[in-house]
Amino acid sequence: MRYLLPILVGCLVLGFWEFYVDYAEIPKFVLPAPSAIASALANDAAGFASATWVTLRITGFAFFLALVSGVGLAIIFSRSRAAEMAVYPYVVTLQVTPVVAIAPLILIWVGFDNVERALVIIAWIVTFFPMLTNSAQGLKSIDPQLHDLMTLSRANGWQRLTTLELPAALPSILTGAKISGGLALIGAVVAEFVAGSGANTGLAWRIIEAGNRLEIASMFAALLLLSAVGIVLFYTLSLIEWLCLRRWHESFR
Amino acid sequence: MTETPQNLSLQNVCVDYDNQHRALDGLTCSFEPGSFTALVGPSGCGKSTVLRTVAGLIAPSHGEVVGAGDNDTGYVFQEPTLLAWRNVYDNVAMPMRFAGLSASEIDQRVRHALQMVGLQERLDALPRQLSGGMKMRVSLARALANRPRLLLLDEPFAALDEMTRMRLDDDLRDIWQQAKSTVIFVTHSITEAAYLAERVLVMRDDGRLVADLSMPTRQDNNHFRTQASYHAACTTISDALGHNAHDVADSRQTQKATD
Ligand SMILES: Nc1ncnc2c1ncn2[C@@H]1O[C@H](COP(=O)(O)OP(=O)(O)O)[C@@H](O)[C@H]1O
Ligand SMILES: [Mg+2]
Repeated sequence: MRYLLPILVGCLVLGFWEFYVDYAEIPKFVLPAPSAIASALANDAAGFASATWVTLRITGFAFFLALVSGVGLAIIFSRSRAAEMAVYPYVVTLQVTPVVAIAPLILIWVGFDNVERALVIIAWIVTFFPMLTNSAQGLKSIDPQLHDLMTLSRANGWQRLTTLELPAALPSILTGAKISGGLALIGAVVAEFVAGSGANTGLAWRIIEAGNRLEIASMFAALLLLSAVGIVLFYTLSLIEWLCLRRWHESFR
Repeated sequence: MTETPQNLSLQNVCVDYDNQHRALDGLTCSFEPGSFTALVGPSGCGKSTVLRTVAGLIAPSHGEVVGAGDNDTGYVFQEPTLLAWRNVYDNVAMPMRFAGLSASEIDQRVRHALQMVGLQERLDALPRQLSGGMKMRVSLARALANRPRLLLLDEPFAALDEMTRMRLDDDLRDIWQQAKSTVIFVTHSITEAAYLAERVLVMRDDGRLVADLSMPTRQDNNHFRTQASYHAACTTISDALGHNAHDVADSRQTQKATD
């Protein structure tokens, strides 16, 4: 039922859409029929595939960077209150400044010789913050007695990190990762929009391009692929969460 | 008794939290090797602070702790304090892995410790698959596995039901008699202190010791709870605790009890 119902609804909507576009003679530069979208996709399968790959790559890099830097900085914060006080205001500043406003600067600084690197950085800015705050939250809410236990057992810094801190914070880190995964994709799209040059051809750029040419079917096709990337990302992270936590965490009782 | 250098002792120990709130005020006492001491007192009087200071988790603001073993202190918290993502075996083995013991040595000690607490069948269980009493047993096994010379227990069974607690009390006494470690057992239960300990230290609200009582030696372990000497001990402890309720200034009484 969980899978059948949404599929059924999807089929009904698509059927009605196909029928209605034909019946009401809606021009295809306003709303193309599902079949038109499918054929747009099929006609340029290779192009769409490479565009998807570009966007996926930017998203993936940004997400990975956010994961490493977010967890890393959270660990540093948890070890040193001074480091947190010194750095946190700047992290917040970076977070509250609209990324669209920072993006041109980054493109100028980094984008000249490597557009994709600039795009990854822009997407990373969007992705990083929830990764940091969730990880920091997870590290802070570790039972202080478990820390005492580590102290009494004479754990060194590395042992404390791997035996206690990372596993205990893992649920929070993964929650952050699920939020950040979606944000990384949004960041990648925003970055492509802002970059707006033909040098890179990700899905977002395909949307702009198709819009300029009034190829609405291609636009829908790119949109569809973006959603697909988002969904795959989300469920992959949910699967990782399930694999990591199902044995011991309360949320999988 | 002779003061060997190994005797654990507190000398005029004071602990101030946040540099102002005085939790312990001039505590002086010593513990003979192999003795079983209970520390009783009302909630918030500083019992945990005593244990944490002895264990070296807090440094005293004044005075000093002498003779606390470096690598051989076992500590049992009020909650089981287990790693939820590790099974029973790994939880017990963890401190010994940090200490760098060989795998075979660890294996032998883990099995032995779990046998002592009666959990040798549950090596692979995760903490969430165990009852509260069993989790506490794992925690006890973890503290025992490293064969500590000093065993510190901070209200270890307070969160358990009466039946489980009484059984664990008995087990703890048996283990102590086998392991021959020095035990300091914190509790707010008068009956538990009277039942378990050879000696009971009574603390009062302002972080001072008010009484140092020796408990009767028992002849018959099985029926101790029904014996007159046990009830007398309960009354003595209860009196020592009660004095501070309406007779805080009566230090002569305190002196007498400390003798
Ligand atoms: N980390 C801490 N910071 C400040 N005050 C504390 C801290 N731990 C305990 N205290 C205070 O010290 C006193 C003694 O606490 P504690 O040793 O935990 O008492 P007990 O174990 O007898 O209940 C209490 O008044 C408590 O509020
Ligand atoms: Mg306490």
